[in-house]
This record gives sequence, C-alpha cells and structure tokens, in this order.
Amino acid sequence: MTPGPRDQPGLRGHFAGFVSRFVAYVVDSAVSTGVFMLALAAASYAASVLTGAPINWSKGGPVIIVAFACWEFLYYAYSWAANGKTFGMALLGVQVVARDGGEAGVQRAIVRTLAFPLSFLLCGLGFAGILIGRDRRALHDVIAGTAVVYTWDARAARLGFLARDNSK
Amino acid sequence: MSDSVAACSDDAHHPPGRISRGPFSARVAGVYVDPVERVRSARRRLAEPVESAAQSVARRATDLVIDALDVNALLDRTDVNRLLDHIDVNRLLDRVDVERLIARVDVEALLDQVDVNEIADRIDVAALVDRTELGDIVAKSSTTIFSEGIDLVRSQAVGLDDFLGRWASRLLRRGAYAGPPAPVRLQAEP
Repeated sequence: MTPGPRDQPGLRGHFAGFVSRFVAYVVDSAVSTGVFMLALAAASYAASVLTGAPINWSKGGPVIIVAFACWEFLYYAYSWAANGKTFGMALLGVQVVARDGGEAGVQRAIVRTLAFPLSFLLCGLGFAGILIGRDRRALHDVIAGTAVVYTWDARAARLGFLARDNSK
Repeated sequence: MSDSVAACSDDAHHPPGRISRGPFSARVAGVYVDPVERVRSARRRLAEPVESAAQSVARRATDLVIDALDVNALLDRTDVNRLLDHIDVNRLLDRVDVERLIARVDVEALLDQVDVNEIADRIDVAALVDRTELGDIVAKSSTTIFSEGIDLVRSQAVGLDDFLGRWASRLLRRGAYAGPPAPVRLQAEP
C-alpha cells in the first residue's frame, strides 16, 4: 500500500525530477527577462534625461541579443557558482551539485551554463535524460558533471489518481 | 341588690370562688360587703363605652394633627445627614437581591443609549496595536502563508516528478519504482 505523504520518506538530496526543474526554469526565465527589460527601460530613461531622447531598442537588434545573452550567462553562471541555485530553483527547492553530490563549484557552473543551450537542440532532446535516466541528468549536466537534487524534505503531494500500490 | 355588694348571707348558697372577698370587705349584718368591688364593678360597666369614646377622640385628634402638619417644613427641619449616619449601609445592601435587580434591567434599552462611535473614538488604536504586537503577528502570518504556498507548489511538482518517474520505469521495464536515487555523498547512512 502506497504510504501517504506524511509516511513517505523525505527526498532531500535525491535527484530532482523533470517537472520541478522545468518550473524552476520557467520562473528563472521570467525573472531574468523581466530584470533585463527593466534594465533596458532604465537605460532608455537615463538616456532621455541626459540627451533628451530615449533609446530606440528595436533598431539595435543584434546588440540587444548579445546583451541579453551576456545577461543570461551572468545570471545562471553566477547563481550556480555562488550557491548552486537560481531564484527559481530556490523557489522549487532544487539545487545544482556535482555528480557525486559535492559542491558544483565555479568551473562546473560556467561549463554548465555554456552547455545549457545545447539541451534545447533537436526539440529539447537533451532534456530526455531527466525523464529516462536513473540519475535524472540532462545533456548539459552530463557535459558539466553536475546533477540537480532536492534541497527540502520533499514529499509527493497526495494526488489521488496517481496513487499506486507498489504491491500490485 | 347591687352586684358589687357581696350579699352572701350564707356561704353555703354560693359556691366558693364565685364571690370574691377583697381585703377591704367587711361583714355587715351577716353579709360581706366589699366597697372596692363596687367601684370595680362600676368601672367594668363604664370601660367599654369610655374606650370607644377615647378612640374616637384620638382618631379625630390624629386627623387634625396630620392635616395641620406641613410635611415640607418638617423635612426642612430634618437633618438628613444625621439620619443617614444612623443607617447601616452594609445591612441595607445585604437585604438587596442583586439578581432580581439585574433581571429588571433592560439591557437592550441600556445599550441603545450607548454611543459606540464615541467609545471607539476614545480608543487609542496605535497604543493598542503596540501592545498587541500586531505587526509581528501580521509578519508571521504573511510568512506562514507564503511558506505554505511555496510548500504547496513544491509538493505538487514533486508529485508530478514521482508520477513521471513511475511511468518511465514502467515503460523501460525497470521493475518496481522505488523513487529517485541520491548522489553518493548525499546518500543517507544506513
């Protein structure tokens, strides 16, 4: 009989699943993009104050793209290097660690950030490892030698239609 | 022959006890005569009408006195403080049935006369809040609500992770799903 949420063992330190990591990424994307947009707005306002004319960002497409890419790299790399988690990951209670569970470190964080876009290639095939792999590692995790684990005493929500009896 | 004269020529004709021989009685011509008894007899005959007359007189006199009495003047001459000094308030209160007194109080009418707004205006809300540490309570409540919301989202995500893990194990025929493993250094010691 499947134990209830209170009886299930905690998942702290265990490999995190696809949904937790995906929701964390969505939150991070929203936050980083929002901050970037605010920065652009602030720069345009400063320019309008100093020069009397705001900045027309639509004309600087490549510049904006490069700036955004740099910002994203800085956002993820710094967060993973500092404490292994971004804002979204902290919210969902997951953390980047080394393959053996130790601290990720600066080097692994940078490599992971650079390899992260590779997982999106081929319609996100790089993320399949999270679903089918035993240790739930994506392509960029394998390249960087990292893994993502739960950092809280996770207990699965009692979803009635998902409850299964292990003995059956 | 008068009743007062205890004409008893012969005691044998009158049983003892009926005729009283007073200390002043004397025997005259063989007959005991008590002059005091005569007076007593007369007194008895006149007592009832005299009393009746006296009561009528007293009643009439009382009515006259009362009609002539000025109550206000009487009260003016009365020292209320001295009168109150003689009253034992504790004994007086002991005789008061408080429950009956309270039962006669119309609370609804009493409350209708109370201006609640005026009472509320007199309350120093700022001082009250300072004493109740409402700010800390609100902060704790907000933190608790936020924490519970976060836990809810996390729990739902972990539940879906578990669901996907089970189906992946089933599709890949890995046998019974025992949950995700942990890295070597984070595995709990047996």
